[in-house]
Formats: sequence, structure tokens, C-alpha cells
Amino acid sequence: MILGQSGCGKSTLLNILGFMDHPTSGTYIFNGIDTAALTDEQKTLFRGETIGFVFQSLNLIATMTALENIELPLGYRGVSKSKRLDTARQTLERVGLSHRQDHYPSDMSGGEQQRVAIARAIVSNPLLILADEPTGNLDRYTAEEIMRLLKSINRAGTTIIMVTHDESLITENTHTIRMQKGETTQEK
Amino acid sequence: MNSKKFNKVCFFLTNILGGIFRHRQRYLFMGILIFVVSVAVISSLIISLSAKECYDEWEKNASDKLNEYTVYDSGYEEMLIQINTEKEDYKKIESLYHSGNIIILSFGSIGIVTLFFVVKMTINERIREIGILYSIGMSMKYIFMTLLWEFTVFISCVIFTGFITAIFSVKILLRTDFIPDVINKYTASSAGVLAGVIAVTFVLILVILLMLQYKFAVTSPVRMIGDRK
Repeated sequence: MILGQSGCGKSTLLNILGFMDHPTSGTYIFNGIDTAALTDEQKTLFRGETIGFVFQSLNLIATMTALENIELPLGYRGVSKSKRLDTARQTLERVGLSHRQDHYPSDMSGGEQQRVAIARAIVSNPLLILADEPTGNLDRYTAEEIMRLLKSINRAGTTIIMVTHDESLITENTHTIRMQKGETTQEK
Repeated sequence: MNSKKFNKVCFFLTNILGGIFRHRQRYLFMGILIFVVSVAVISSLIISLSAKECYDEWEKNASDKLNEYTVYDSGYEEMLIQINTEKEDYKKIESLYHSGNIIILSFGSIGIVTLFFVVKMTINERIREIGILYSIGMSMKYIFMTLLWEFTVFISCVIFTGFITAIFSVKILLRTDFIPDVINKYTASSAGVLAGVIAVTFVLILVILLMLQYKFAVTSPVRMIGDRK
């Protein structure tokens, strides 16, 4: 978990980790690979296959149903239509929203939309999930639901790096890094 | 083609058609605009080209006829009077040619400018969608190719429909007194030439768009994705 005040560089760090942005200096080694040697196309491929993103502002495509949103990453990688739908339905069931598969984001609550966004992030079994304040727009009860879901995903073997300024989300088992003005100040 | 590549192609094609369907309201507005402009421009082009061909042929025939005489021949003055009388009738055809050009220029300009802004607005509205697609692993090249093909497929279908409608409109107009009957025999060849020109222009535009695809890439996809609170 990466903690810090607004503007300290948490989201920038997350975007660099997710190959969405380029570092101005330093080395980034992911899974034993020096990412500086990768081309933009390779980074995009890497991101699609190994990293899932969960954003604060949900970021579902409003004109697609929940199922269509979830199967999107698989379609780009050449998975057949029938397999995509099966995998997407299984993932939707895992987040407890199989009854919402044909609903559009506007038909769902904030918590449900965030669960669909998490399902989209995990559908291709990524090594790493990057979550940028996933509970920022949610009420306390829904936020706890989302955290329980993320913890279950983590226990299943997926690494999660989450950015937040909400200290109440820290538990004793959480690896925590604090940031200030673009630099890490404390690591526990 | 292996199955993975086949699936990717199917997915790409589905995305193009799905994108048009999902954004049908925006595309409907764009479609009506392009349809009206293409009917006006194409029918004006057919009439204008036919009028030009008709007038040029008459002018050549009149010149050839006059050249058979010398100034001193007895039939020369009669022929000159006949040609001047015909010229009065053919002035209407000449003005039809110029009017057609004015319609083409005005409708065409308005259509191109409005289309540019509609396309720009559409891309701006979909900037968030572009950011989301980038975050889930689609390359910028792929995303913009999808958008370009969406526009191209849609605009091609509308212009084709406009072309067919324009041909029928010209046939109807030929039955009125607005267009002289003499133009009738030139309209088929004009329409054929026009179809060829439109097809070649489209292929050229597609090639240019494909070459320009990288120019459309946004520099910072990060800024496309929602605001932090």
C-alpha cells in the first residue's frame, strides 16, 4: 500500500509501474526484465498480459454491458468469442455480480461498478494489479466490501499495489510505503 | 491464418461495427449531414459535368460547321444566325454548369468543415474510452486504427447511399423543365466518371489516413483517464 498526501506522486508512481508513463530517471525492473530496454509496443503488450488496473473513477465504458467490459482485454489478445464469454462470466461470478452481466454501468451502483472494474482487471489473470484509490468514491460499507474482494484476490496469489490516502485501510499484514514530494519516506 | 490471428481480426471488425452501433446517436447526426451534402454535391457534379460535356460538344460542332464555310460563301451568314440562335439556348446549359460548381463549392465546403468538427468532437468525447482501452493493454496504434476504420466504413456507406440517391434525383430532375432534355444523353457517362473519381479519391484518403495514424496518437494517455479527487 502506498500512502501519502495529494500531489506527492503516488499516482505518477503507479502509472510508471503500469507502463502508462515514462520515468525521467532511475531503473524499473519488472519480473527480472529491465523495462528501459522495451519499446512502447512491447510495454503495451506487457501491460495487457501482466498488469490489471483499477481506478478511482471506475472507468468502465458506458456504452458496453458489464460482460462486454470484462471480456474486452481478452478480445484484444485473440481469445475466441466463446472462451471470452465463459471466462468473463466466471470472473463476474467471482466478484458476485453474475446477475448484472447484461446491465450497463449507468444501471449499477458505485460499488457494483467498481467490482466490474476489478473483474476486468483480473480476467486475464495478471501478475500485478495496480489500484489507484479504488475506494475513494465509495461509502464506508462499500469500501470495506471492495477491500475484502481485493484481499481475496491477493490471497489467491495476485500482487496488489494500492495507492490511497486513507490510513484506516492499513492492516497489520499490509506492506506500507509512505511518500512525500515524489520520494519514499518510510517503508514497513 | 492461425486461430489467434483470426480471432483478433474478428474482434477488430466487431469493434468497428460495435463502435458505430454504440455511438449511433452521434453517427446518425453525422450521417444525415454527410448524406445531404453528398446528394447535393454528387447530383450537382453529374449535372455540371453533363452540361459541360453537352456545351463543349455543341461548341465544337458549331465551330466545325462554321469552318466548312468562308466569309464569302452564300450560306455563311445563315449558318452564323443559326449558331447564334442555338447559342442562346445553350447559354442556359452553360449557366447550369456554373450553378452546379457554386453548389458543389458551397455545400462541399460547409460539409467538410462541419465534418471536421464533428469528428474532432467525437474523438474528444471518446478520449476517456481511449484512455481505458490503453490501460487494458491496447496499443495507441490499434485504438486509432479502430476509430479511423469506424469513420471510414460509416462515411463510405453514407456516401454510397448518397451517390445512388443522387442518380435517382438527377433522373427525376431531368423530367422537369429545370434541366434541358439535351443533357440526358451525357448523364450516364458523367455518373460513371464520377463514380470512378470518388472511388479513387476514397482509396487515396484511406492510404493517407493509414500513413497519418501515428499523428493522431495522444501524447499522454494518463491524462485521458478520470480525475483524481
